Amino acid sequence: MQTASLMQTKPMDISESAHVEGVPFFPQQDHQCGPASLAMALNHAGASLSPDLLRSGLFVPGREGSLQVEMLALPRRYGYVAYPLIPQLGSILRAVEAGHPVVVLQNLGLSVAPQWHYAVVTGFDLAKGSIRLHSGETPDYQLALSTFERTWKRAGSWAMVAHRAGELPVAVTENAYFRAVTVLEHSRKREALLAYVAATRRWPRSLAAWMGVGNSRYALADLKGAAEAFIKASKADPLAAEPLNNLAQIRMEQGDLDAAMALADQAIERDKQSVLYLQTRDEVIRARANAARSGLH
Amino acid sequence: MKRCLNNVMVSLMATLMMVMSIQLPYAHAAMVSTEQILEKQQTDRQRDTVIAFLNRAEVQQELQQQGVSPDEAKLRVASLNNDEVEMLAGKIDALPAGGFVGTLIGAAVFLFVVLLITDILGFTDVFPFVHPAR
Repeated sequence: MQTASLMQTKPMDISESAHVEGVPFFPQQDHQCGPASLAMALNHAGASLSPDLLRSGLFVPGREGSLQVEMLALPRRYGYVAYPLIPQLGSILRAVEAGHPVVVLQNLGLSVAPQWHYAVVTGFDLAKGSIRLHSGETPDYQLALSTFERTWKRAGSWAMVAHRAGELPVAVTENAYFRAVTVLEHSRKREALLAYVAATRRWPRSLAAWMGVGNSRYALADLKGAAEAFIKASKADPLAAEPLNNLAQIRMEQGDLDAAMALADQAIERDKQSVLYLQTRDEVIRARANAARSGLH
Repeated sequence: MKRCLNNVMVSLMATLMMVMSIQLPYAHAAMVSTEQILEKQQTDRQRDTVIAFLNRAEVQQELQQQGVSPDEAKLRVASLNNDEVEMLAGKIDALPAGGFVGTLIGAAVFLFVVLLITDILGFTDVFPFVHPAR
């Protein structure tokens, strides 16, 4: 049991007890522990979204419940991002200590007869061996940490936190972060930009971070800003072909066809297998032909 | 799903998608998307795009079969990344769906009774009074 070892030899970096103040409580209506739990986490993170509003994006009528993957995905629609935690009890406690309520999945039944239930961890006390949850119809429900651990492990040790886009969770790997935020680019371009700019501060040499900044600025029609980001991406990873291709596209749109051609050639030189880079060069060639025809060249 | 797709199929689908100009994210300009940066191999990128496309259609259909409206199913699939789509495809009827009803007291009593039985049977060791230290 992780509970026993946490209580006996408490890691130096975890406090004996912690409680997240002011986590709003929404009582669960039938089968709606998913929307209620997610609403509590998101409202604490700064949103104002009711469980009813989230219900249509989460509930699966045929299953009478909500799926973990959709709990992680739905916040993106509102400009927030959910991150799965490392599946250890300690990561829940650390997140709570850092001031973030943690959404957890519990199996209140048995492995053979599961009763899946979402709840929100709001506090813990290692000396007493207890954990507090906003759960079902009870705010700050106190439960033995060991019992919680059993029900939590029986549901696959799944936990998540939600943050406003641009705020990084305490412990997140570079890869997990980008996998969580890239979808923002489709419908939440401004929030995507915030998320990538934040990433460049945490990982200044990350190709993905600078490419993300460039792509989001491009999507927001900021060609000049996008070009600067792709140049930084190229500096972060001097061998990468991707930033050159995207910069070529921008130079072409800015009317600098010579620069566009040189960049497209360079991208192809670095990665001869890419169909996309050939397509970029074709577009530049076409743009040149058009320019020549209209007598500008 | 992945196993049935050989390279020929992938290229056929890719061509078909281009010909039909199916709206994929970022398909307009010849830009490398941030998502693609996360997939290191070029060949994987093309394959992944096709697999993700098929998986998305599958997940959308499954959600509808489970009672989600077509419009909402479309929106819901759009907020998933490719990994998440893959986690759901073909499994929506089997994955855990959190929605336990009943007051917490009910749940606690249920849990107590179940664990008491499993303790007596020797599968678990929750309550010390079931097997007093010998």
